[in-house]
Amino acid sequence: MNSIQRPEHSSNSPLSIHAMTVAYDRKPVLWDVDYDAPEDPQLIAIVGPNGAGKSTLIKACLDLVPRASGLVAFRGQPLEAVRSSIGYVPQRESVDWEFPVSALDVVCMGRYRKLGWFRPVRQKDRDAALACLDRVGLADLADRQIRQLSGGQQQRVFLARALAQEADLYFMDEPFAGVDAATEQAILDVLREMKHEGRTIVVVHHDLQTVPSSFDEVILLNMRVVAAGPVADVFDAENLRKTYGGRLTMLAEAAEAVAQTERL
Amino acid sequence: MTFVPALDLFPLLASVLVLVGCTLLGNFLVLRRQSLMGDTLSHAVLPGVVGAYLLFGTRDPLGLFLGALVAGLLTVFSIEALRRIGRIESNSAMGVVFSIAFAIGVILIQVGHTDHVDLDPNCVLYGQLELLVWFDAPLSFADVDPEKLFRAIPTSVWSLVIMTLLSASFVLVFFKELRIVSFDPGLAQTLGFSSAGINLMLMMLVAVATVASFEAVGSVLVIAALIVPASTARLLTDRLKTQILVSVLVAFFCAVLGYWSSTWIPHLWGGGSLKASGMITVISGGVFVLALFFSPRHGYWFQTSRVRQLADQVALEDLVVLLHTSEATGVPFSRTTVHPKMLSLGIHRGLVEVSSSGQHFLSDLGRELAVEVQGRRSRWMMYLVDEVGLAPDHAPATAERLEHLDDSLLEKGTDANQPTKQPPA
Repeated sequence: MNSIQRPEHSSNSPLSIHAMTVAYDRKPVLWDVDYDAPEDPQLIAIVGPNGAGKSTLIKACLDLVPRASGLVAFRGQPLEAVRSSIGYVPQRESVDWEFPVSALDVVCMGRYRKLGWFRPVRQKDRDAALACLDRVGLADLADRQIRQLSGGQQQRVFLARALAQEADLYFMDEPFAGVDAATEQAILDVLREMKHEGRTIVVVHHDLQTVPSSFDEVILLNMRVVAAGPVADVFDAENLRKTYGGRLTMLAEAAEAVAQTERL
Repeated sequence: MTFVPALDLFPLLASVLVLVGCTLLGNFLVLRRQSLMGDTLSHAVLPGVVGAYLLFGTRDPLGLFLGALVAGLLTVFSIEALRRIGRIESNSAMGVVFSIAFAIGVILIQVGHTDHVDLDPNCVLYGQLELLVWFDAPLSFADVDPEKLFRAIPTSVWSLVIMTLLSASFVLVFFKELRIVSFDPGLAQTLGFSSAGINLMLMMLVAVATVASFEAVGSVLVIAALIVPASTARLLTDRLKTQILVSVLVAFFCAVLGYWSSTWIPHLWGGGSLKASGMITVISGGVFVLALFFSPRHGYWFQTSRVRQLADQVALEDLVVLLHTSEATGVPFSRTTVHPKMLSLGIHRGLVEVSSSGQHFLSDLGRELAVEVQGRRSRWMMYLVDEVGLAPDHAPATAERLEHLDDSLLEKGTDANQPTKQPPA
């Protein structure tokens, strides 16, 4: 079974990727990716083995790495026209947590786009940022230097910053990496709230087990889109085997994940 | 040592401007782990300076400045090109570019026979602060006429004034942009703040700052000015704004103290002279080392003393509990179970008193502490047995270790997300 039939590249899709190929050093890492996110708000997981190009996919959508070919449109518009309605949460390891800023300072960065060039952060922005920190349960730690936060708290600061962006479409690069089960649940709750507010969220995800219970859509990626669509339709043993190849441990995990789907 | 306006005013002013102007930009080099950029630019401008001299045939500062600026920009671009095309790490790229550029400069000096116009390698390293003499200066600072002073300011000091103003306005205007681009370039890019653009502006300004400072203070002090006060401030604070303010204060202090000591120290052995730029650099290094040891957050001294304080506190709490138990049970307390130093510390802190017969007993303060510690112990016991599920006979040993901890931890005991590092107490 492959991706289910959808109207080709609808201009209403919050994210439509057409024939996107990305290469590092002439070596392609993503081949001819085609994907249209459903019009309704969704939680979309990108899963695939290491080196499958999951992070590259979202970075290429955001023009952070150059595309060799292909198009990306957001409700029919190019990135430049819709920047302020697109949010990005990079991998936690991508920034220097020794940097001399407080949790609140980091969340305020989510509002820089609204502020534009030169205009300094105002009290209004700090209040809004504090409200976002409160939503992820970290208002008490607003003044902490970010190094003094636990991994899960750092991840939640990033989430609060994403909230402060007030975007319609979010790309999140492994927001669940290195967090404990309680934090994972807390983050997921916020993601669901965001979805109910009408936002589409694309998440690079590692844990196959939680895909069926946590996400609406899934993109199975291994340098190409193996399958994409509603979790109930495409997240099956056959597609997982195609995505993860012959790796036994992965197969075992996949089997377990599928067993879970069937129980649901 | 008295202050002689004729000899000291402009050199001192130049030192302060160099240190403050360079430090403002240096903060971001340090944060972006581009500290080597200071070395690179301060050396790589040399061929530009010499080339401009050979081309225009004069030492007109504007020409030299333009030459240096061109060399600085070429350097920035060639490092970026080496990184992208050659795919080598940026530190290596900087090392390759600056050593070759500097060597070309030295060769140009020799080929062009410019040694006689003091474009010699020695002045490149140490600069010529001492040559900024004010010939018509009054004898004492009190007699300085502001208007005359204004007209007497040498060109090289003017260029430092402009450099410092440029750096200050860049940091003020682009503060938010510099912060996000330095912290999270990926997010900055998606928000429409060009990392490459900000980086290029920063590099151009570093080039301008090095060029403007170069003639007065030489490359050694330029490198120090860019990196040392900013690194010192980095040790002292966890906030970017504070860091920049502190670094400027440190820079100012080092410039003044360094300059002053360069005029004063030679008198210790009867005359001679010291290079002010060398002395300022040494003083900056000294201040950095002091910060390394005595910084309130990261400093070695405070960290060890914090550990010592904690150890003393634990030992004192154990002592008062021991005395309290012996009072309650009537079993006399044996002095041999306690370190004599702790006993005298307890007396010193007013927790323990000694009777005329040499018997130790608790003061009211000590009794209060003992009750508090025992309360904490029983709360920990309850928590360990009820919440953690430790066997009741195993709990006391653990509780005795935990009783010294703050109770607030106990209230949050069920929160799974304790920070990885506790903030300093």
